[in-house]
Amino acid sequence: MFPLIFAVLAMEDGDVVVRLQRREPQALAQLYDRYSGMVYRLALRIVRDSGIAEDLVQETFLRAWNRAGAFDSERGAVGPWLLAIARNRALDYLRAQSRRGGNTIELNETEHPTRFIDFPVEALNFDLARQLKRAMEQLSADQRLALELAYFEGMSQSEIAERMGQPLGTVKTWMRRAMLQMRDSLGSVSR
Amino acid sequence: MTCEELRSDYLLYAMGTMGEPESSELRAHLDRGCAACTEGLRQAHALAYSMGAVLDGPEAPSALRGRVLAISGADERRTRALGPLPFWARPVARWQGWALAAAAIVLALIPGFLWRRELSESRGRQAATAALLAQEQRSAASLRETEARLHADASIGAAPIFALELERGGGGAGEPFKQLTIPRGVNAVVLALPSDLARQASAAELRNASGRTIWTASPLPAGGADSTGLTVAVQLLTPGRYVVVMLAGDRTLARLPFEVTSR
Repeated sequence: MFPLIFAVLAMEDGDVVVRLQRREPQALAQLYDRYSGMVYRLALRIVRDSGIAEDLVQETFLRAWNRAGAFDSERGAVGPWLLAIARNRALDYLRAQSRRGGNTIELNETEHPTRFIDFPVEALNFDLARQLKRAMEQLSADQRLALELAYFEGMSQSEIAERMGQPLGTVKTWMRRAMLQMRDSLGSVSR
Repeated sequence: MTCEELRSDYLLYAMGTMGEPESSELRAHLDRGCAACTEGLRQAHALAYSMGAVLDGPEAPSALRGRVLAISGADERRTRALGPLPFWARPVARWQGWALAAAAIVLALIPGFLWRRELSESRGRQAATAALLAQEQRSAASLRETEARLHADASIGAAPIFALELERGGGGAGEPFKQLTIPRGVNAVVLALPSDLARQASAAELRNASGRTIWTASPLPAGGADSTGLTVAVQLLTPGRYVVVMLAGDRTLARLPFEVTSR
């Protein structure tokens, strides 16, 4: 099932963030009603345990509640921010379970509120999301797996190469082509 | 690095899984104001986001909403704002009224019942505690009587007394306890204390292996210039491990462990 009609929601999110910054409990309720499904599905996809996923959803909204002050309500995209928080928390959980070290780049950087300023609103569009899903399905199995290992398991290219038993150069090529292919499919994302 | 070389890394950078030194190089490149890479990275962020946003799967469980909104107290307010009429304002059928009345009576009786049960249990616990205390007191009194009888017995002064010089420490995990074998015919044991400790301490306690204090010297008996000894009736020292705890007020100065092997 596809989530919400992102474009419409994105326009209203600015107001919700302003009220969240004023610590209005209703704003948190609105944010939850809009994005909890998306956040929960992502957490569940990464950790594959519904109980843990619920805890991660709670942690995600708690973090948003506590850090809303740093968010740009006019230019920031709150949905992508929530997803980034949820993904990072879920990957942290996976790493703690597997005792796998973190990547050289700090994942927390990817959830910093400034990263979501001037986020391409086209990406929040429902049709585009459906288009992306089709584009993903058209990738080769290796390309898709490489992307999924990076996104859903937080692996670096070296880790992906090791996991897939392929040379690093091959994995880099797969990922580069996958990105170009998807970008072509989503031409409207470019402005 | 050139824009062309960096292009393949946009998505990894957006996902936060790019390694070093590539991510530093990309950051430095962006800091130099490269418009093409800035735009490429913007697209990559959108792609990365979309990967997480278009997943199939279930909605969040309904009970989770309350848990999350408890962060701010929002759920409670929402319930107040949007919830149904309070129960006393709703129309009820006659049978519902009777059922409510019956339920109210039962509810009214429950606290009394619980209170009585709690009171009864509490009294039971108090009685058990009192019995235990009385037993302890009888035991302590018995020990004191034994000790007093021994001290009072004129023979103690004349009977052989065995001495053990206690030492600090020991008795920890893997450390030996100072051994004490009490010969037959001995009525009392003098546990000699290190002189420096004896000067600082105000009291000493003899504790058995389970940590119970079985004998107390408070204040410490006056000793000579070199040593102070605790004279303990042998009846108190059945085979087992003991520790003499030297105290200065509430502070423990030292623990002097020893073990009685046989007598």
